[in-house]
Amino acid sequence: MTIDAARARPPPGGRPCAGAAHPAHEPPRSKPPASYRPTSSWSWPTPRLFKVALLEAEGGLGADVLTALQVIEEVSRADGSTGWCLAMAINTFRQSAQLAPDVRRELFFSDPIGLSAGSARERGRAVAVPGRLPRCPGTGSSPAAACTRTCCTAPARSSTATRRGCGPMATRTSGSPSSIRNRRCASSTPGTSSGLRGTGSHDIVVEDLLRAGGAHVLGAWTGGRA
Amino acid sequence: MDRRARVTGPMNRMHGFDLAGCGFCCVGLGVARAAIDAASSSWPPAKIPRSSSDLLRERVMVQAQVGEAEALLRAGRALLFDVVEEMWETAPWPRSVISERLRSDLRLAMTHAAQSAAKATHMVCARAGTTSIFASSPLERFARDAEVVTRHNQLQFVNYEAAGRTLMGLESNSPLFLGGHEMAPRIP
Repeated sequence: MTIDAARARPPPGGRPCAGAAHPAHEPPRSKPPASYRPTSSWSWPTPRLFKVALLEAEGGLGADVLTALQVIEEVSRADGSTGWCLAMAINTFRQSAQLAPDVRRELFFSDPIGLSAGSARERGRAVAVPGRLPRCPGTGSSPAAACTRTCCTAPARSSTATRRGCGPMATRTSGSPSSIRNRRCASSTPGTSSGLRGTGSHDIVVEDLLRAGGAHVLGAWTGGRA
Repeated sequence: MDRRARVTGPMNRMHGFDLAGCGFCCVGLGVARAAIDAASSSWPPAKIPRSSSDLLRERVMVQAQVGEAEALLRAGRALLFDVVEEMWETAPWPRSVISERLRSDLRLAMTHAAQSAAKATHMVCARAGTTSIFASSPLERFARDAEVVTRHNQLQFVNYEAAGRTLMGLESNSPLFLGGHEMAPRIP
């Protein structure tokens, strides 16, 4: 879904996740233009539901896990894609607890907050693309999170994950966490999955990558490819 | 980034994969709920299949399958929430460690919930006949969405194997529920 497409076919008002297009408005299955570039910004609602599982002291809603799951279930009853994005966002916010406080504050609690550029579980080796930002590999679920305006724990520069299984993140991540600013982000391959197509999986195009520490990288592009 | 959560709280004592998987399978549960609701309340009201003189909703086979789908969905959901509740009761204790067995149970429950939800969804969609294949019908989307949920690596059928190994007392071979304590928060 491109930004323009999203604007041309906005989801019904009041939906909690504006980033996920309603499947009723799914664009036709087609390859994205190779030179796609978003030209304008998205406007996002305040993602209170994304913080449903965070402690109230942190600005969350302090829900227990059962309540959080019921929220996901209920949203999914209305729209599966939106529910998926919400599930991704809730877990991403929860995982932010592993970041250093200042990094966490910047990525998850600043305004605007960032978008997820990749799964917290990095699974490959970052590839530097000339003229682009480092590519975050193995981000099968990232666009869903991206569409939900969550934050990112993807490494801008990463070690090769050779461990089998789910070791601690610290052993898989050598680069700084990075975040894609929400204003310059779009899924570039709409409708390439059979279902949950409103999540925007699996590719994403961004032009503004925020690295924790304050350094913005503008005007570059990355494509996360599952 | 730290290997352990810097923010303490019950939610952070649960493994990230566990929480993510639970959330994903709840998507399937929600989609299946919507599909069954559509079948039971807004079923194509005037549809009379060509092979029948009865309204679709008045066919015994359809009624039975809607009932079976409801049972499948609620059974899958009940198991999931039962295991999650048990895990949640363990999580608040500061030095508690969620056992591999419990994580295995959760993997079993979330896989079952997602698979059951997809079966229930397909069941009611199939009974709608060709109505469910057109993009204009929400049933078509429900079927696709529910199926996609079951393809996620956390919810695939193969996860039953890992859960079965644990139940049989064998060493777990699944990276999805090894190292249960690794994501536990730092204890001040």
